[in-house]
Amino acid sequence: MPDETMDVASHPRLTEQYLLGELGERESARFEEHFFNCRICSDEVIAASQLLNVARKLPRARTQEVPAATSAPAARTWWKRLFLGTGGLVWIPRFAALAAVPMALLIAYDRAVLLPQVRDELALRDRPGAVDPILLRPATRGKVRQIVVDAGTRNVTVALELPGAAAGATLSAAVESEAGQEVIPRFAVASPRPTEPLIIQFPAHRLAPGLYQMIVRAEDRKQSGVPPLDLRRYPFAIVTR
Amino acid sequence: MRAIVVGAFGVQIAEADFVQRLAARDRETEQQFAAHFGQLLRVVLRRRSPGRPPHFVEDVVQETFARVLAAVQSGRVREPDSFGSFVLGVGVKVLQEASHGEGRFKLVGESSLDRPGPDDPEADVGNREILAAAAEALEGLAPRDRELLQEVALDADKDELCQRFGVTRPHLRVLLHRAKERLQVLMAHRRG
Repeated sequence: MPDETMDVASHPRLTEQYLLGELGERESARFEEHFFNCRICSDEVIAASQLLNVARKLPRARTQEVPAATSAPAARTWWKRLFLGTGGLVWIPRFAALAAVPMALLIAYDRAVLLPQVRDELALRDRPGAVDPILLRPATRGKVRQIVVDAGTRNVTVALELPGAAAGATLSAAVESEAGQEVIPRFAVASPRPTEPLIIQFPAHRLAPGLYQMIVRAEDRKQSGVPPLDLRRYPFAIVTR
Repeated sequence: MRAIVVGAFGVQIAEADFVQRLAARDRETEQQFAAHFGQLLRVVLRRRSPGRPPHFVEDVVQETFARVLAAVQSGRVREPDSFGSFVLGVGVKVLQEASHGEGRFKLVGESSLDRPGPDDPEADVGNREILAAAAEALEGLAPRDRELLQEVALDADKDELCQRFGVTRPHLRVLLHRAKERLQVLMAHRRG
């Protein structure tokens, strides 16, 4: 059995423990089995491991104030002992100077190219629905939530409040036009934790302006031959800016 | 069928019948499969084969992909809901074979240590986005924490590291956790 057998909630910082090598062989294997089947944990593992990958590749001058050129006292590493032991202290400043050139180039690249890229991307955060989910309410109050899309809009994230009975159920969602035509076909969604909304990202830019509804269904009954049950319908309108 | 969520760091993406579309050789689905499971496999394989060069891991990943896709296309994936477990199982088996030089998978060119691998962020164009976000996340740390995290990444002895920096093991976890959360927020913004 995959993830269902592992109670991740009772293991705080499991991802960190795994990547720091603090789990035993058996626990590691169980967690691997889990995160290969779990959306949330796989994202966490990928994020943390990419972070360590990048940290590993960054020039050490960025994380250490100065390379060890003039700070000899705590000579712990083999190369420090080697240099100091052979009178190589003279060479250390030269080594540091040589090392400083590629480091400076890397830092310059980072500041001139990478960080501006990041800032540009972060500028997108103000776009509605790009980052903060848009809360869609069930079709019971006569109001329709507008989702404004413009030329730069791609996917939009929505948060759906589900009835408590949906927790743990096998769910699917689909988007229908006002005319009842399925414009985004039914797709499976993982059931959120009991107190959390269902978060769905969908390609809003592919929908023409108009009225739609997102339908969330319980799929469990399919096994017994009963059609999926409509849990809730969430109307929304696509509006172009 | 449960959704296979691809495009890491994201919230749910509308993906239905993933295995079915993989069996139909849908190109986009294949790319999503490689992107998502490639990252997960590399994490596991690196942990299980310490000291191996990047291309060793990459060869195992590619062989795993080939076997998984062959199995999918010949209808040998019996439990699509446990597709992740299936991919992991194949990856571990291929790793065992590669480590012992067994089976039909033989490593090639193991001596070319300088060959760039996809786990080398600079070598992987697709990772550039994550590289930039991770660099930004690391920039947000205090210099001392950054140094500590880099030492962790370089597989320094954790106990010695804790002693040197005057921190505890839980501190390492918290540090990695905070940096990871920051990266996830940055990536969510970028994927928006």
